[in-house]
Amino acid sequence: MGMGTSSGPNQVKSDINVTPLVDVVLVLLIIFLITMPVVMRTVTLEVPRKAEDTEETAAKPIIVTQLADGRYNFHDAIKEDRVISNLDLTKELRTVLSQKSGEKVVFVDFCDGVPWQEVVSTMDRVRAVASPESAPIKERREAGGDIKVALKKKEKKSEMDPNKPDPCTSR
Amino acid sequence: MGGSAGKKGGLRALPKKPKIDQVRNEINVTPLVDVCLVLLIIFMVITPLMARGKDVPLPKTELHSEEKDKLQPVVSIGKDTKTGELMVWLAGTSAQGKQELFEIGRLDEFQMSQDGEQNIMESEARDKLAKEVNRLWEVTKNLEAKGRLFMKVAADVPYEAVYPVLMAVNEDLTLTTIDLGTADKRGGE
Repeated sequence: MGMGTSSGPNQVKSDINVTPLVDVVLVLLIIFLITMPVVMRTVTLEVPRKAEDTEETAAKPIIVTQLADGRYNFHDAIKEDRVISNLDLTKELRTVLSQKSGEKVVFVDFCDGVPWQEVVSTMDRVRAVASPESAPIKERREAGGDIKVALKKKEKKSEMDPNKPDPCTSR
Repeated sequence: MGGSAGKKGGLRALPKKPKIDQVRNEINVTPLVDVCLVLLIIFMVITPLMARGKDVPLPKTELHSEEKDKLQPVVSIGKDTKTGELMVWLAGTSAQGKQELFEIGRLDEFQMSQDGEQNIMESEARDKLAKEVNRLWEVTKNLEAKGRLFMKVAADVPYEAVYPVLMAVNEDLTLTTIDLGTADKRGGE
């Protein structure tokens, strides 16, 4: 017995010490449990925003209408309405928005038949304008929030301006 | 005394050879580690699938924001796997903190008037949606969930079918913003 006790501490243990390993694994488990389910990927949309919110947006709204074929009708107060491809949308918005001071609001509208994927992609394209393409993705995601995407309320037939053709039916 | 002790030691030393019979005084950690690692892997795999609300194929985006779940009610719009019809579901957290999911109705019950005046038609489904969302806002313990709505719309639903729901939510619940659920373009492809 005496021999056993004296030689005990000097013996080299050949097993790994698992206690800290278990600690680390448990802590990792808890961290994952807490952090993983709380992330929700969202694109925030303002549902139909009242045009009278701010005078500036009411007077010169930028209205982007996506046609059934995927192209866009671009409306702003500077130039005439024009139909552009989805590749040109970012470019066009960038030039128009850079001249705007104050709140940056883009109204979006969609013709019948546009699938929801395109609706959300359009918002994605609008958000992309806020930052240069070369910026890191995390930065771009944050910057995207600076531009507000608002849904344009469909016009009532009785309030429609007969001189302004509806982009969905006129082309 | 010392002699007897030595004798005892000597006696004890003799039957020591079968090492297997020795009682180990430590817990056997190997299975514990196994279980922990398996649990870890299970949770890593399951957590992205644990999203609240009826599961629908979400549209993919690149520049979405990643926000903390505020436990707001979740409206899902998508195809019912059994009937193939487009349906509206609502999910939320009850007063007891339990997740509940119920069917609101068919998506085509939400309609705009056909006269071009863009009025939302009254329907049972529309009333139910407003009533249930208000109830969920009332019972929630999370203050951030009040006045917020999360919407998960399947990627292939046409816009004109979703529009009446957006309008109904805006009118009946006086909401000004909606969070739209999306999936990561890069992660999903």
